[in-house]
Amino acid sequence: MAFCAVGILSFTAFSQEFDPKQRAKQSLALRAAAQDVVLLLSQQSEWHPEESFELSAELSKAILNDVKGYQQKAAGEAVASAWLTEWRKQNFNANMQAAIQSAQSQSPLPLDAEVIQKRAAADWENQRDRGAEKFSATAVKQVYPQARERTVSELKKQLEAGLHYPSQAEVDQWLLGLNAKAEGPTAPLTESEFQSLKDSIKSQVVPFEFLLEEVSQEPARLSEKVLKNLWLQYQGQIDLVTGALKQNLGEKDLWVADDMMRAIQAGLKAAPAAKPEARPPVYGVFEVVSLWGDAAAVDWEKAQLVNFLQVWEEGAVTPVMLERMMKVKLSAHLRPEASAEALKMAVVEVMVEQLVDAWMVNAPAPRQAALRDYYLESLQGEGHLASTWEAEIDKKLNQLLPAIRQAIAVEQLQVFYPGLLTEEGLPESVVLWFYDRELAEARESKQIAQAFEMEDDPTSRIFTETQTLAVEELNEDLQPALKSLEAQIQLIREMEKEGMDALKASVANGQDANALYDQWRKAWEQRWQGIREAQDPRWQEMTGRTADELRKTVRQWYESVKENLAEIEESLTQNPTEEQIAELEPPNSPEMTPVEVPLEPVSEPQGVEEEEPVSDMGDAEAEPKPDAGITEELENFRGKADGVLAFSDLANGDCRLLFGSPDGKGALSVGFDPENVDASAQKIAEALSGPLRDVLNGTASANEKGGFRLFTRAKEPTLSMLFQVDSPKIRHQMSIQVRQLIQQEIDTWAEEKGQKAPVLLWQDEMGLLP
Amino acid sequence: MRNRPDAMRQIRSIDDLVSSSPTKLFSLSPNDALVQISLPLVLILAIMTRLLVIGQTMTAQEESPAILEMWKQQLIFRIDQVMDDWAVEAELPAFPDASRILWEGSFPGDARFQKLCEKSQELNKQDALQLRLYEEALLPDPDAEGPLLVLYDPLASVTPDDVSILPPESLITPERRAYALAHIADRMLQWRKQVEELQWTAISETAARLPLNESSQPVEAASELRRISKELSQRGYPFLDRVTQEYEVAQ
Repeated sequence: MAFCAVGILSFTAFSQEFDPKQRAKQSLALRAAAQDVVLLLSQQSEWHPEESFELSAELSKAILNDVKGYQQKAAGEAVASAWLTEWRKQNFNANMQAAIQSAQSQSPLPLDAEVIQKRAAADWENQRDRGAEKFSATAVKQVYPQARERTVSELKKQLEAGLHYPSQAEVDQWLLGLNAKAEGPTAPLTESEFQSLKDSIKSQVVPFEFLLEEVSQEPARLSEKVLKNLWLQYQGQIDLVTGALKQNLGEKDLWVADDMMRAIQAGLKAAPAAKPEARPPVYGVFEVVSLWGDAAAVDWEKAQLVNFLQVWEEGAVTPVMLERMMKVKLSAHLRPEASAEALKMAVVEVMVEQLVDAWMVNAPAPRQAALRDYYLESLQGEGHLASTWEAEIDKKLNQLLPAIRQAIAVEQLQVFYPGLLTEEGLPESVVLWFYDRELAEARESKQIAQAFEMEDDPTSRIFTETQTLAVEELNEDLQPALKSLEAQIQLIREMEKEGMDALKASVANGQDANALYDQWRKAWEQRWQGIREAQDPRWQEMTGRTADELRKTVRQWYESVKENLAEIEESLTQNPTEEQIAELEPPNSPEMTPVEVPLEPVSEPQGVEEEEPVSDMGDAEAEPKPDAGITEELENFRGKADGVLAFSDLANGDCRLLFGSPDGKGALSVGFDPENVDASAQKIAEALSGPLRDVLNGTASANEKGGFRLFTRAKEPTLSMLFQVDSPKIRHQMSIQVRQLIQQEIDTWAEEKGQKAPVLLWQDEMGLLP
Repeated sequence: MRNRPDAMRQIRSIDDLVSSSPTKLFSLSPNDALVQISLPLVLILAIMTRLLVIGQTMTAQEESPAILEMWKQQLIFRIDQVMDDWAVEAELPAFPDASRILWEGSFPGDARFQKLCEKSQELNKQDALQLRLYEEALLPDPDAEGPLLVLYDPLASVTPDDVSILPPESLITPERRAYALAHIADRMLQWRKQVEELQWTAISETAARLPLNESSQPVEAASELRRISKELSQRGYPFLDRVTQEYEVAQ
């Protein structure tokens, strides 16, 4: 049966396929449908303004579904145009489908959609798309504004309908946050503080992620509206609290904070019952209002105390009272902070009972006992009344205490440092104590005790103000004294440089040391005349140290020249030029450096010159050559020291250290941050480690060679280092730290070499920097 | 008696076969069943049907010719002559199928097809043509050979010269008239079918060849038919009403 049915159906279809009438009907239907498609294509770009209303409604729905894309009006037009293009295509497709279906229903034979489409136009899709674009370009100008207007209207409705009123818990959280931010005395929140929440709660109150620009202000407006409502409810509750607070006005009874709190809580019971389901909801008592009520009660009580203290004359804190309390035990008042604290405690202890008695004059008799206990406990404990009273005492102490302490400090200065107050000025020994330690000024009172060689340092028994006074007093005299001493010593150095040839000639002529000293002393005094006027009157005469230094210098030069007289005479007979003399014996060469310990000649210039080529050849292979610029710079220090530490400013605000021996050994240049002294010193120490070894090795070998050996009396090896500073940023602390680091390095080097560590001769050319 | 054990064995075999698993009995797959059973069966049935038809035809031919009555012989003979003439005049024999139609561009360019269409218009008034052909057939043919029987139909517009002398055999009674008209109608039906097929094919071809118009309104198959047939008519190819009014008739 099935086979028969299939056969019959197949035969029927087959016969229809070859039935001219059916085929003609198929052709006609195909042609009609293709005609319709052509018609649709020709109409694709046509825009009829009467369609605007319907189309704008459709577009409005699309905008609502994609608010993000249409957020900006201007930018949204392109999106709308694209939507209209797509809509037009879809519309065409639907109409074409209807035409095809109609044709298929009219055709007795199957009719393929693709055949119809191809019959209509081979590029029907392109034509459709181009037409849709033209349609969109025209229609968007009319449809988009209308659609946007509709959407804005709809969005406003949705915003109103979707407005989310915050819950009581949320509001409590917000208001507590506001309260926490509030500074100053306890006060209710203001409406502007409420409105400051506007931006932060916007997304919660209006839960719309994206909005059109026309309604972008709506969330803020609605948030403002919600906050306004909250503010009114809050204000109502605050009014209840303030009403309760006013209940005590005019009462004779003495209220305490707890009384006030009870009154406030009773007042808040009159607040309307919460109705969270209402729109807008009616909120219960806000947590912040309850807290504020408590705080207001406490504030009120504190204000009562402060007001009373202002009028309580019998209990006023006076300077006499404070001075008396301090002198009971001055050692407890050495520091101002400790003194204030001790005085505050003393005032509280002494006056608490008087204060309570005076305050409770108006208290009703039945409550007096209880109130007395309450106030005694509150004023001495850690509660708000105690802190308020202590704050009032602090205020008074801040006013009175500095003057009292200053007066006592002056007294202590006279008692403990009489040496600072003499009209003669500081003894030279005190000045030398600082000079020898390269200290430009006193920093602490312990230094004063050491400089004056006091047997008992009073620092631990005097006020800090006294210590400050003493240091200031000392520095006032010390600084001009140091300045004068520096100038005097410097004058000797200058004379050394300039008078060396004359000295050699004098020794060669047989002049003795004393005559030489007298000659130099006169020369010094002559030179000093030009400088002394610039010095402090108390320090215009030659100091003992200067005289010693001059004597020692002359003596050293004298003996040194005398021991090498033969060689000197030979060189003098050769009548060398000035340049040759300078080259052979630089005025300030290491051999000639006038230091306390007689020097062993480090190198012999002629010998160095002869040996240099050989040495350079050997070094060239063993170690890298220093930078030529650095070497040239170091050349400038030739004769001044074995090693140089020269500090100068860099353009970027940092400083630069130039290091090395004047002949270029261990030469290096390193930049560092002058503000960070510790780190910079460490950096310098690390950088110096190797180069310093080179200098030490070089100096050691020079010591061993002996060379010219002008001075043979030196027993100990030495290393002279020049610390020259051309930067105001480098402080004495840097000199001290670098000196310590170099000393450590020398010790380590000597230990490794198994030699005696050379004595470090430190020449600090910082002067008295500000 | 010797055959009895064999008979029993056969019975047991049959029992075994019956009680055995059906899967063993019908182990053919559907595809095997189609190829090995159904298709041969269909083939056999087709051959048998064809043989039966051939047999019947041969039987009918072998039967002795029917002894037709004189009036019927004369009338059918005359009707066939008239109708053959009409068919030749209408160029029907020239178009056994539509492939003979000549085309010029989107439209037919064939004079004989044009004549066929024009002549075929008579088929639109089938009764009139039928009656006309019938009455033409009643007229005696002066060129005919042999004794001819004069036929007289009292209902026809043509009347022999002397009706009174005509034998009863010559009288076309209403039954005889109906028979004759039915004979004409059968052949006219074949004409019309042939013409319709030609014209539908022409429409189909024209619809396919003709470029699409730029119409301002949606069109349907019926309107396209009207437009094409009108165009063809204006070009001298009037089509049968049954063709041009196909959709109206259907509605």
